[in-house]
Amino acid sequence: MTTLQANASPEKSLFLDMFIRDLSLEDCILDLVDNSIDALIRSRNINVSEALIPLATNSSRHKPKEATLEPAVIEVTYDAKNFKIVDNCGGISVKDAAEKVFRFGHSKKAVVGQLGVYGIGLKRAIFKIGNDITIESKTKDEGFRMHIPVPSWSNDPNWTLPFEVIAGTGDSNVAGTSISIKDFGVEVTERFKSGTFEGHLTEMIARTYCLFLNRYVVVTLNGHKVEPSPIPLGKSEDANVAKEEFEDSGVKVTLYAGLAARDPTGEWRAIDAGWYVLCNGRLVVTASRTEETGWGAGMPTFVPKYRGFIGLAFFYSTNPLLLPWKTTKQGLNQESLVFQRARTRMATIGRPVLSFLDKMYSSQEIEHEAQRQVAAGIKPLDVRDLTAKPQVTFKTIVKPPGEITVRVQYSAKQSELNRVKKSLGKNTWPATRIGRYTFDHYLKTECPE
Amino acid sequence: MKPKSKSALNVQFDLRPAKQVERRMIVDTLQRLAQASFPIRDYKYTGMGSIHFVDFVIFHRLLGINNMLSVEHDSSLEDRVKFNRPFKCVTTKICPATDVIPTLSQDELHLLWLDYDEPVTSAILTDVFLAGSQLSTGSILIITVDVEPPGKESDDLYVSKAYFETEAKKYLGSVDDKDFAKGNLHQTSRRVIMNALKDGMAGRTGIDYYPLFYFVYADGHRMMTVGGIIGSKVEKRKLNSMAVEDATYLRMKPDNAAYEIKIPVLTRKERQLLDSAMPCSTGWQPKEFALPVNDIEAYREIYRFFPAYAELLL
Repeated sequence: MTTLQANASPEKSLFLDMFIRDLSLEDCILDLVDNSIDALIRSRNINVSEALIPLATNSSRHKPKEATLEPAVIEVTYDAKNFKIVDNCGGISVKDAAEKVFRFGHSKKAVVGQLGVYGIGLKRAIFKIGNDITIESKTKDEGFRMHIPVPSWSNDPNWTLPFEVIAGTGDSNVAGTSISIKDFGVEVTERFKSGTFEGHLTEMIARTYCLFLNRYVVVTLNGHKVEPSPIPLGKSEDANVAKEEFEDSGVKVTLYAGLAARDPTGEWRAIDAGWYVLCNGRLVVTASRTEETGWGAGMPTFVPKYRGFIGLAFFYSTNPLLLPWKTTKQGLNQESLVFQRARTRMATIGRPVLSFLDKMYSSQEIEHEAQRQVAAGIKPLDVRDLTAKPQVTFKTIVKPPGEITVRVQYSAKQSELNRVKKSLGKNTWPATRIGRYTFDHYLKTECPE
Repeated sequence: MKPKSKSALNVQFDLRPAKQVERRMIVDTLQRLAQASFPIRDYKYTGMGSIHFVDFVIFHRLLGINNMLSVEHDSSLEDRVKFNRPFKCVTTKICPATDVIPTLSQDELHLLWLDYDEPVTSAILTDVFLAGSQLSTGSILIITVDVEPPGKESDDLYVSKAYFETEAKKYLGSVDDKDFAKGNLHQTSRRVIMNALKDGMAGRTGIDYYPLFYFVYADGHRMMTVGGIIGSKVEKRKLNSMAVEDATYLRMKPDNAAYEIKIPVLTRKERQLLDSAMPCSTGWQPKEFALPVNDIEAYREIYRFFPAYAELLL
């Protein structure tokens, strides 16, 4: 019997046409930022799990030494014809360029990054954005420059990319990478031109990297510095933040739950409420109020009275493949065992906070005074300053109310109201005053103390 | 917020014979567990003692448990609860069980009895979920619920079905209409409770629920109790070594039918006569009068656990 061989080799078109579709343009740009931050983590030896959550609020002893260095800079610029991302995060060595960075996927022995997971971020991003790509990267000792004309490369059956070696910078503070892309497709051009793209991209960078920004890295978009969008978790003398941590198959999980700080008008914003999930310090899920993070399954379904709830779930691993994020890094892999366990713990640690909010709003939407006072004292805390104790339950100190007040509200026919006004001789009084008067009158005459 | 406790104030609690038999059977099991190397006297007992604290008295006296917490959700009973505490080692808390369960220490072994007097509600299922997540390995969880048709004055299975769909939709799984017939509500209640427990235990690899109890009884309302151990292979091994031959009331497989606690009506004099022949052989009848065969068999099942009530003229 003759045995033949079927051709199972990959087509370049698979990568160039297909898998770039799964990702939005913003996600691609974030993938490139991930790579820059990964380079920074490697070159400065940052331990992501310890560095982002320092051990104690006021202890300068525990400030990691990397935080005393100048933050690195990542500059993102684009217009309708050109896209560029430049960083000084350390650069890529010639050896890595030759053997690792441009492969599709990681070899099993590769030292993977902390935010780069599948070994496709760089390729997917650059191929999605445009057809004429120039990459230049310099470490202290050496550098390389590569130019990829995509259309001719896609017709070439070879899976190699030629590059030239250039000199290093001599100074590790300016070592870094620059990626320039031109010749966009029509879809990408339209998106770059759109009026909302810059705002949306700014918002995504501000949220996703809120723990890194200004501390380890500064990101500018078209010359404007992106300020981190903080997670509004708060605490006060009367209300703490619950914490729990555990380890499961190579992943360290740290959970926090507490009340939100009020916004400048003194309200809690429902749009900010819910669970924030971070993998290796990168925000993966923002303000989630859906079943993805347990609402309606373990926790009650989210309703407006829970808008004061903020939860944080940090997942750390030296192997980012073990973390429960999807390939797009926006969204969670529900099958992940460590996430299944975390979800039940999230429901348990969040339960006392929800009970507090239940009591606060137990009668319609009027806030009970005692709970409202606790909530008013909540000051926003920097998530990076949370407690060192391994396990803390959410507790509030609620002072018993002086006198409980209840709202009395009812509708009345205009003709009847007029009759009362006439009888009182107070035609100018507003309806609420009439209501108050009639109540007081009955109280005084029929229910003496 | 929950309305006032119903049963504690409506029923003369000391006179619920089936419930007392259940308690005694549970104690019997815990004694067997202690002999199988479960450190029962070091467990912390958390229960719903109300103003009577019957289970607290039994567990302290017969098992030596001396770290106990009683939870009462009805704040109007606070003074009576504090007044009726039987021992110094019983602490009390006035709040819903939901507020207590997440605070149970993971460094202690727990015996948690969620002894509700109402049918399954979504709040109860939340408590079960939280227990499944929070209870340390080796802990024992028992849940009691009312299994009368939950509709007001209606046995209609469609009313029961609508109730369960409102309270427990995601834990029902695939059910038929007949699962909501009056006689099957105990099974359906157990099913949703077990699913809620499994949900809470999600991700706890190596940890399983090992069933022990599945009681059905009625002193007034029909009630159902389900309970077991949340444990690892260590607990499973210990369980396999537990003496179970004459413990006919145990239900250690997930698909067992319920054990129905039946209390025959007998006078004191009749009980003394029957006791002298216990354990009797099948088909035995007293010489002096005739009793239905079912009653004799029922008595033989429970005689060891059956309380004797007497009036003390004090």
